[in-house]
Amino acid sequence: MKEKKRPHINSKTCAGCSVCVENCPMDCLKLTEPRYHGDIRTIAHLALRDQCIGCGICARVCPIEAITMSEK
Amino acid sequence: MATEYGGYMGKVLQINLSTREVSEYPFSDEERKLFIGGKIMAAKILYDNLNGTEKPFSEENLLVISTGPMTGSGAPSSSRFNISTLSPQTGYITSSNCGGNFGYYLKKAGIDALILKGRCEKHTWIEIHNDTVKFHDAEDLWGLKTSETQAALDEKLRMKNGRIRKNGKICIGPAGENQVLYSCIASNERVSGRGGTGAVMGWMKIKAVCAGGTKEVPVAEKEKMVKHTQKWFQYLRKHPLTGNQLPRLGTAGLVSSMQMRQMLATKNYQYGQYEDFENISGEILAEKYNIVNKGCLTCPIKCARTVEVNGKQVKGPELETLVLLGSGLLNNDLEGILRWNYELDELGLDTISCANTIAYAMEANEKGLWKNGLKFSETDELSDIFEKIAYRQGIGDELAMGSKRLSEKYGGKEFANHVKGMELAAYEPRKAVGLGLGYAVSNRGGCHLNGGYLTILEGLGLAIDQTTYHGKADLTMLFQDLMEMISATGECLFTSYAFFPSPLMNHPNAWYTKAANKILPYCGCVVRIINKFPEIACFHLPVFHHTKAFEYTTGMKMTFGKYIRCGERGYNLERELNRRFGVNASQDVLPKRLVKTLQNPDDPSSRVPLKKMKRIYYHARGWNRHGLPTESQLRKLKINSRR
Amino acid sequence: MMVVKLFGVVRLQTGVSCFESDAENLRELLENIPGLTKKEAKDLIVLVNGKSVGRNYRFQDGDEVALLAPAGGG
Repeated sequence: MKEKKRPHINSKTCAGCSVCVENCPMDCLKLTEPRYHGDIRTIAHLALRDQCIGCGICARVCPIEAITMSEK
Repeated sequence: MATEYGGYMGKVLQINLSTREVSEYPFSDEERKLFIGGKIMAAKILYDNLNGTEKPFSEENLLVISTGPMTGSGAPSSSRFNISTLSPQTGYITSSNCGGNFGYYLKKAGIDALILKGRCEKHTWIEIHNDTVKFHDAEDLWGLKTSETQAALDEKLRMKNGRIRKNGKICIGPAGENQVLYSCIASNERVSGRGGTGAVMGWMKIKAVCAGGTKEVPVAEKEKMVKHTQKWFQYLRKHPLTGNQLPRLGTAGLVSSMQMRQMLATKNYQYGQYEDFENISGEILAEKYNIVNKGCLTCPIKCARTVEVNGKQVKGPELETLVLLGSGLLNNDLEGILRWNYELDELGLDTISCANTIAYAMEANEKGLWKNGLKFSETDELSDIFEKIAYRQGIGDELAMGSKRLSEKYGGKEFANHVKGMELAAYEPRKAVGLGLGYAVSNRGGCHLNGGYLTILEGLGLAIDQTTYHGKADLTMLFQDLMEMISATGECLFTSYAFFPSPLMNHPNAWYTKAANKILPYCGCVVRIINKFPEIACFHLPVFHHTKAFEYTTGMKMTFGKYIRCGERGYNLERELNRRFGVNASQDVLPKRLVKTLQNPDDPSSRVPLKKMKRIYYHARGWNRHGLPTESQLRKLKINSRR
Repeated sequence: MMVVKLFGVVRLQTGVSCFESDAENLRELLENIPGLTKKEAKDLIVLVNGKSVGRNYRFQDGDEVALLAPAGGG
């Protein structure tokens, strides 16, 4: 059976703007939660992998093309 | 109504609440070019519909909720929307910006701006989804606090598959329902805080508006916009203010700097420093209470805080709230402030006006002018007082009037810290006189943002002389116009920090930074030249990504000079509208304490030289000596004077 | 001996909120800030008793020193 496509988020370019999180119809993307010291950058990640239906909306709405859909 | 420009959906929707008539309000592309969006578009709509005889609580007033062309374009920090109306607090226009996601979803419904007019027969909430507008009974929502209201609305939008239909909302709390003069409108955890927008919505009997849809914001040059946005996001991430200080400490991070620069409003602006400031600082908030920083939709800066109150994770306080409920009341109980911030948001009250009204009341009590039992440092009763204000009970009914009206009743006008009826922000202006000017002349009342936020130069970001009047008038005008346009496009004002190149912020002791500090007060002539001849600034500044982003999104030509000119148009439009309601130089005044009493008796420069700065400011703005735009100024700005 | 306090991102970066110093002058103090290199310390805003001073300023007993970074807010 063909593996479902899932979002691959580029952690270097992702700016944590949360547009993908907001638009995901299955609410399976979340933002990381840094504390006040260390690396303060927030990025998006696929928190609920099994809930993802591979629709690709996240990749489409990302304003900086930081998300690609792949079967890996 | 179509548009040839990207960034816009091409529709301004008007709803007559009395008749439930839904129609399209005509707004041409010619008008879009001049009045852009957001607060300037709203000002134009109010300008075309109000002649100066209307009252805030009347069927003639409009509540205009508007987005900017950048919202939905993919630009960073671009989801902000604006609510403008005739303010019940000031009697002039108020424009109140908000970082909640209502604007983003209004555009998904295909709408650039929403105009509400008239009054519902019964308590109502409005649902907008793509091209459909539905009116719903809101009896079950009326009385609910803001987060309960939003949760209940989500339940109403739950679909058959169990998921909640994606939507953005605005709603009022009990304070707006009871038309408290400084009640606000909430959207998620963010707030359209100032000027009493909540009271107007409450008078209209609208509890909430939900919007959503499946439409997409067109972008004129998508590929160029994506590449530009990639650079812009990275620039914000690397900048010391937007990429380090704001995410780590939030706006609360300013408390210590304000203390050190003596501009921390303390004991109702009697002083500029507070000995217990460390207990209410951003550092303590970050180290002990902040759970995670959050941001508005589309924003990489993430300046918002999250704290725990009553076992729940809620929004943490912003700078204004921290200071005005802290040093402003001689209170060093940070946990109290976390709780009150949450309570005020839930009730739907402007934290700034509320805190300053209470500070006035405490001083009036102390001086024997008004026996109200409120005392500085004594805060046990505050939660109860806030409830009473929202429900207009007992002393709350009086406090709901705000400091201006209370001082007219009980005396103490010299320490009622408002301008035009809207209370001042947390910066004590006797050590930031440029902001003092800004407070006095700001269109919506005592506002630090609409006032130009010169504190960023006067000791917080850069360090120009805090008490000299030199250059302050021109710099105030420049920053007011810049910020006017940034807001109008839908962008967050924090993106303007990138205007200060990183080397200046990273190296405050470098020769070039010291030179900038020395020279800036004498750059008024440069500001005036660009103001008079914006075509000279016919370029894009590398540190200011907004102009290129605007071009790529809309397809409209934009340069740095044009950008400022658009902002100038917006600022003058609001002023000219306010003129119809009686504004002139005699309303551009500060409380006597700030102009007559020295903050430091040993420092003769520690008060606001307002008269001198105002004269220069009016001249710079091309206004007459009464502080009003001249006909030629309006013509230059393509504003139809209609006098 | 004077009290030196760190605020803002500097405090978070070093993990130090305050310390005592017996530096004779500002130049010497800036070479000995816990958690910061000399280069990093050069970029601090230094206020002594609320005022800017020169690098050769000689400290007096009881001086209060604040170390800050530029900041913005709302």
